[in-house]
Amino acid sequence: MSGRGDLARLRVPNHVFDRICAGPADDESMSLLRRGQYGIRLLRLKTLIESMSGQRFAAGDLDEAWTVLADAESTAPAVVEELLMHPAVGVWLARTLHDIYAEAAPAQEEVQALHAVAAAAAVRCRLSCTLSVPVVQGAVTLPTVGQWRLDEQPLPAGRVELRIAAGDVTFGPRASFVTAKRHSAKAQGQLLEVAFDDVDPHREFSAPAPPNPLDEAAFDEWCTQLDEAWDILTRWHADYASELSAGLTTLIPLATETPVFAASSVNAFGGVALSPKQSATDLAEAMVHEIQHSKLNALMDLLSLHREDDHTWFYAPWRDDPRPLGGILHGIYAFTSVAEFWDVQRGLVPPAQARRGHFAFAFRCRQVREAIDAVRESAELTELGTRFLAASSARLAALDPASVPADLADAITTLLADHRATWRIHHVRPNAADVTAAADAWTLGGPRPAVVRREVVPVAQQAESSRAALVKLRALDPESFRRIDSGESADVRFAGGDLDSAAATYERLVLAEPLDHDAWVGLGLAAGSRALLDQPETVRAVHLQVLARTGVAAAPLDLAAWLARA
Amino acid sequence: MDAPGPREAIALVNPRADLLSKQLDLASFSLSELRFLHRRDLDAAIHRTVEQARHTDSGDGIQEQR
Repeated sequence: MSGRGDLARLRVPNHVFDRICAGPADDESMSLLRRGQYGIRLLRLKTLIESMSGQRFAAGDLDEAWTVLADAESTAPAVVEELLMHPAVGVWLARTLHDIYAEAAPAQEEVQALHAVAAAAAVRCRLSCTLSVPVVQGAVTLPTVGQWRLDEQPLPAGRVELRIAAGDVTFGPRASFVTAKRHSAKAQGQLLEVAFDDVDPHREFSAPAPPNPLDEAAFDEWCTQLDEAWDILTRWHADYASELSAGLTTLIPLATETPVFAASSVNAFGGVALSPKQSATDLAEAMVHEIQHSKLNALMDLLSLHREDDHTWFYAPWRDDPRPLGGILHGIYAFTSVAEFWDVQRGLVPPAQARRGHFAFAFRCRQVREAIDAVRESAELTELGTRFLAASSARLAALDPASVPADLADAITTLLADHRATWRIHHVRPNAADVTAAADAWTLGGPRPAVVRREVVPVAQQAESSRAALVKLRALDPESFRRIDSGESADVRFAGGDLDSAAATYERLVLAEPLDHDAWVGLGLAAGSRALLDQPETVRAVHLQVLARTGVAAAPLDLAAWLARA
Repeated sequence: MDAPGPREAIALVNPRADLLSKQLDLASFSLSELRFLHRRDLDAAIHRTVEQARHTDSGDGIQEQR
């Protein structure tokens, strides 16, 4: 089909945009986001097949697969749409296009995976055809159908011919078959139907993964916990349950030992990867959190919330690394929902877990508020981005983070200050000339620079400090904290409330080892030095230069106070 | 007409009208139609898809909670 007219662009009704900004989306909103994502999936498929014309992979070969898909679509369009929207298909498609254009060396089986998608469509729509499908990591995978694990390498290597007759597959090589897992949870009359993708090589988002099928017992555990989580969601968080019912399609179980709690991807709308959870409440929270990312990814594919040609780094209270504005908006949106989840949930958990509920609620509220305040004036925000942010701010204003026990609120204040100062001392670099001018002024008595210029330079950073972990432990589990052998640790003293002693120890550490990031921040916290916590990177840099120049260490808190008066 | 860039899209905001998105509404086409569909704006969208693929790393666009 060809023509001269323009194709229509997808339109987003204003009320749909506002509805998505306001939190849990209704069916109309989820349908529109899904339609946008399906359009992108089709565009990428079209790009793939057009890209192959004249390449060493025969376009005619891919045409065969496309024809099977088109035949299946004419039989059962909803089935083909569901198949093409399967998260692993989206990840495969994006990865293959990247490898074609960025790496210029896609593996043949990667491109030919379109045949496996077509074969899956043929099986599900009960068509008859013969397709040569790729063997990847010793297996043939038909997305949403299942996987054959081959006993031995087929000949010719890398491909297996599938004969499909009215949907029934004749599979030549010796192999064991794992059927794609699905589970339906129903509670309060609301249904959640999800696939468990534990075999597709493209199921995990960052790199191809070998199959790791859940055994029967593990799958039962997942299903039982999902049933319990679904009961919580439908009973107490009905709006979030509705959007999950409309949007969540696939859970990707990660190995127990993975450090990832949960993940989502711009290429995998409706897919959530997650490690096993300790409780149904944790699983419910992870589902609510991740579906927000899916929604926002889909919304950002349609509309620009921020200018994409600017790349300022921002501080995110929930991350150790600097983030671009898009990442900040994702966190604000997801954690606003998480705060709403815990606002309700904290009143429902058993008394022994109530403090954790209060903590989760207030911690997320205050993190999000700090992030909103940090970016609300950003010139990178578009008009729609400003509208989006205002909606999150209004949702947050409806919550009351002060409604938690005072000691928890204090612990959260400390954790936020610790995290922010730790982030600064790692990632913020003061201007070298300004640092020199400040060191001159300190040692020679000259004028202080009025302003020390700074830039954010992302560097590798260790995870949560032991001090933060101790503060959290004392807040949430005082009995366990009391059993810790205090010794001489400044962190334990600080977390235990012995601030003077902790400050003295941190100061000794700073003077003995001025590159000790944790000690600088600890000193600022224990001494209650706003001057140090606001610019630890500058105080440390000037301190180092004064020490190098004079051989005499400046008193850290005096230096911080002096710099703050600049 | 090509799909708008981010800055153009900003100008299209009108609280009383639908928001015109960056994406072509390809979901209204069948696969049979799409295979041989050739339009200038579709070619432009394919070109942008190629550029996006070229400049996107495998870790981009992934949100992780650790």
